[in-house]
Amino acid sequence: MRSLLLGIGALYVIAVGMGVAGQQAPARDVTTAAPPRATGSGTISGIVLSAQAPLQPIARATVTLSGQGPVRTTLSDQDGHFSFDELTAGRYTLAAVRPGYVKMTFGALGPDRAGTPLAISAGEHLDALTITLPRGAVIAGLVTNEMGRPAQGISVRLMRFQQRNGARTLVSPAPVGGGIISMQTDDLGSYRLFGLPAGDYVVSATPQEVASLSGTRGSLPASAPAAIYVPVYFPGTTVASAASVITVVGGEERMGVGIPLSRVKAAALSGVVMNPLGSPRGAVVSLDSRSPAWSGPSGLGSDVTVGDDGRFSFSGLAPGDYTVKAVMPLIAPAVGRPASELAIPSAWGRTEVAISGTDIRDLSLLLQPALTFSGKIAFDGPDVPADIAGRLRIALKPEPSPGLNATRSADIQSGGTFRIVGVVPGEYRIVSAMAPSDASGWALASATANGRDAVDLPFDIGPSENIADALITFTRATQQVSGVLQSELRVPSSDYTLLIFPTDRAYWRDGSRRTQTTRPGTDGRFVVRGLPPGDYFLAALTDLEPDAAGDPSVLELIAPVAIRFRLAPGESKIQDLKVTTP
Amino acid sequence: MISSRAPDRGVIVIEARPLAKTALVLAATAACILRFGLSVAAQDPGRPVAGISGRVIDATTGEPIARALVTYSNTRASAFATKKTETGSDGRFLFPDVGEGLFVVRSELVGYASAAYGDAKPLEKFVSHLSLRPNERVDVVIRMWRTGVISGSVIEQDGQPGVQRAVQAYRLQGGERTANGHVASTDDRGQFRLADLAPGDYVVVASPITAGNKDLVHNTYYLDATTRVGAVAVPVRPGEVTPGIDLHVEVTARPDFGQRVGGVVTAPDTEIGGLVINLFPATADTPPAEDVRTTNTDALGHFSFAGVPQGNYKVQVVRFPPWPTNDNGYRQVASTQPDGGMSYGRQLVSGTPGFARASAPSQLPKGVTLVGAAHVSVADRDQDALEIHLLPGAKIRGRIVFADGVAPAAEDLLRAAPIIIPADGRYLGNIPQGPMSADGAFQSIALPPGRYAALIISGLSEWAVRSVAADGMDITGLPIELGASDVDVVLTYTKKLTSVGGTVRDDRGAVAAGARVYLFPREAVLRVSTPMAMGPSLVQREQSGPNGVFELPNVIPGDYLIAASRDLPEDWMSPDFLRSLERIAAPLHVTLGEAKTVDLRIPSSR
Repeated sequence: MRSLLLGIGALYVIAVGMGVAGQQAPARDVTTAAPPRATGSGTISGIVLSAQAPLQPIARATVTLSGQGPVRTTLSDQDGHFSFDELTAGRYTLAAVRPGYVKMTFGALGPDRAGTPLAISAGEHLDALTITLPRGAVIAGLVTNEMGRPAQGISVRLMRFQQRNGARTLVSPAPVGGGIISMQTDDLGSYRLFGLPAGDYVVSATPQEVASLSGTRGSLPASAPAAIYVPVYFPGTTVASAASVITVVGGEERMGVGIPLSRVKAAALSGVVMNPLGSPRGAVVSLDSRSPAWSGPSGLGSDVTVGDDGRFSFSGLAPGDYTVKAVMPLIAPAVGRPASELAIPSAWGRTEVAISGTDIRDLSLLLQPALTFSGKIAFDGPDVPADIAGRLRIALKPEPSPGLNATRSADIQSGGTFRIVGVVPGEYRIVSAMAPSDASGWALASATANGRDAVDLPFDIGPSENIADALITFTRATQQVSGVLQSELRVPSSDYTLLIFPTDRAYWRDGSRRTQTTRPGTDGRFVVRGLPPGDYFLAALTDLEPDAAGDPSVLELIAPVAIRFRLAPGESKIQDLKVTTP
Repeated sequence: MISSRAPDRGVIVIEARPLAKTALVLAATAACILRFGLSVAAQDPGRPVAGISGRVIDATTGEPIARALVTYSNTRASAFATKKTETGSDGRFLFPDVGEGLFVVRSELVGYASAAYGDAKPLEKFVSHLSLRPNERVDVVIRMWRTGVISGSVIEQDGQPGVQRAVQAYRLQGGERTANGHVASTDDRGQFRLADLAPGDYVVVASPITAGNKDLVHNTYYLDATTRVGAVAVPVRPGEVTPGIDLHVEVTARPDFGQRVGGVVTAPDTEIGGLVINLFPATADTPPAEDVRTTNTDALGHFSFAGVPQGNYKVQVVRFPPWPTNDNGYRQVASTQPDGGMSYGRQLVSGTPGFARASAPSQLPKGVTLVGAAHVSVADRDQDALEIHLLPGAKIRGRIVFADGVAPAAEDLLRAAPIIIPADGRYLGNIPQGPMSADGAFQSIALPPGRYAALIISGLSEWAVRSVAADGMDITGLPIELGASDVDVVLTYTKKLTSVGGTVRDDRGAVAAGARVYLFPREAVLRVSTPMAMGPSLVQREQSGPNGVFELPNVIPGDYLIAASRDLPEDWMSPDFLRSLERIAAPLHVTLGEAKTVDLRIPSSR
């Protein structure tokens, strides 16, 4: 739920330009090297408290301090106190966790939010800091089989509905806050997931027996398993979108979340791979499930390598949506060939099927030639690096990732051209990087394919569309935005999240490098690096949900009250901010 | 079987099995399903069907067990010849027409410890065989023991629950060696529940090795002991819960007890950074997993362990050369588990599982194996100036020769690549295994000094070891002793199987079922037996079947004593027990290729 969008007023999106100063900065950042490990005289100390009333100290919480040199760890004492000494000047991140509680970063508004960096100068003492840990919530219950008996060894997982580029998708949450989000039922059929941040969850139960899928060369075997277990979502549905959402608040114990397993009718699928250019022999047919409860990124195993008749069959398919893929390896399997080379197709075929307990026969997969994507590499500046072939990586990354297609790396020729073979049509972005050991500071500036941006926006490679005019440009110029956030009383303020996002709505996507968030430190200072040149909005928010920065509907609300600025190539912009009341 | 030691980082064990179950697991893959109940026999009650029938019962209550999965394998036939069936509501099963042979019959069911025909106690290590002549019918009873549960909690020093703490239970066998580590994690109330435990005595320990929480600095054994010696065994009875096993742990930020053990690893012309250093009590060569501490050397070869309690320790370094990756991304490995068990399998090095899974034997890594060890005694001072000099290990080079002219098919021979493992269960981590050449030659990777066995798991099912020689000396029935230099081993295989069999009868001449038969060398000095010997053991044991018949299918020719007894001591291989059998034993001379028959007497059962 977009709880932060209670209206624009609740956001306190109140940042006003206090004076915009722009200057041409040197192209390289000179402070990237880690400072040598030195002993300073600064100290950071404080107390870890339980967030549930009454506020009680938490003993033996693991407290970590990171930012300068190696991460330092300590345990809070019996009264919840902790301290770090001999600190060098710099910016630190402070976090605390205790099993059963939810991990929190100092200054963060929630377990999945960024905290406030602690800025200390030489010899400074930052004392009496408080980190409050919410007691983790508990979701517990019993998993029963179709006879109503306790089911042992069933994998129970928490999942979450999330907006992903506009679609409501069931995903496995990252283990936020150190809680236990998956486990197997014990011999009594019970499970107990704990240490959970408050929020909305879906509970799924996946029996081990679910791996009943098998594939064979040739036609369909005579008999297939009659009934199989499939993943079930609380309160007992096999349909992901019908799963009930369980909302827990901090420290709540939600008992009795029982899940009855059921068997469903399995189906079989058979078909034939057709190769207009010759025999389909050697093509590898595989199945991908599009059901969210399958945890693997892709591929269900049981791949079938077809013979001259091209026939393949799979049995034991649970109801759901599947993608059937056929790939003719570019290189024939041979001793000494790594598996990664075998995955490069010379031809491909793909179709999508929906299984609902009825066998599907005579599916045909027509092999089409795989494509080539090639182009030029340009360097914007003097001292063009030599020997780029060994230091540069260029790849096509499928969108969404991980998707049905694999990330495919380019062969880079010394003449400044590159070539990627075995490309299957679909949506891609270009990713590229210089080897990290390369100290010359070259970074990806832009990439185009068919004259369109191919770095920040996915582009479509259509069937039989070889692309030869791609252009990838590297530059040494870097941009940054920095400044100080002040309160109305003109003192440094850290209680806000700064959001920078592009003015061009086409770039309002998940994971865009043009959208960044940061928290000012205790000194009110912030720095954002790595933005490409362009026009941006900047806003200070009281809070921002972790995935809201990729949600266009959220950005649409913020844009009208944000500051607008332009970042020129190589520019280091200083943008101080002052908070005002609406 | 859950090992408490995680696989090496970045590596997935996709197929691994304990030694004792190798044949069964291999066999199960090729199994076809027969669904016969007692009904088959009942269809024609007048004429008994040849084969193996029987009843699976609860060892505690004597009640029949329905729906147990019963499998048999014929050790005389190919290892893949196995069948399975399910017991009916009366606990009965039938395998008709199994033919003649030497059979192992096993039974599995959720909620019970796995069992085999002949087991007299839960998780019996020794597997009994059933000898059947053509068209014979035997009826057996298989006892199964219900598993039990240990439950309890982890409590920190001020009474707070110990949350997300790993608790492990190790089953005691023969009073000392632990195996079968079961792991559970405590919940937010500090509670844990270790289920599926075979009845027996367990050591229960809360260990510091949970992800991310290394603030519990030592093991805590039930009942509140920090060493294994002080641990109190926790009994698990069939089908029962042993509750209230509470472990009081002390959580501290830094180790404020014990000493530091550290030093430097030296080796000429070799990278000494990032080496894995193991520290474990020197009392046993086979430390249990929770007693092995591991660290890495820094770039200059320095290592350090903090908080080491008083005692004698061994610091060990074994650095095998880096792995090669074979064409399909898998390599063959054997692992010694810290508890002395073994597992074999293939590990995925890179690439995609499910792609080109055919297993070609990998090449051995190129490069030198470096080994080093130091003993250290920790009292009241840090021991931080150890110097461990790494030396190259030695290799076992071997050849398989076939005594009777006919060699097996090349394909079988290639599959027979032996797996080299420590014969004394020493903990060495994963040992890379090499291929076999078409002329029967094999070679181990360089290894630290010690006792080893070359185990052939598949490929030579109809052949038996006739003799084993190491550097020209006969070591049949003994392990390979590897010192600082390479050893040449010749394994001579024969199709002329030498066996000893017969029937055990009681005073009145009736066949005696379930009698233990012991075969051991007449000369006491030869009564040596290691768990993993080269070739058949010189000391053997079997159990007479319902037909009174026993069979030892693979015996080294020589002079023996043989005796039948109802005694089944835990330490039946010990010289003392074998000496006690001498007064009732009969002498037996066994020659090569002979199928010796001997009938034995046993006093009538009480």
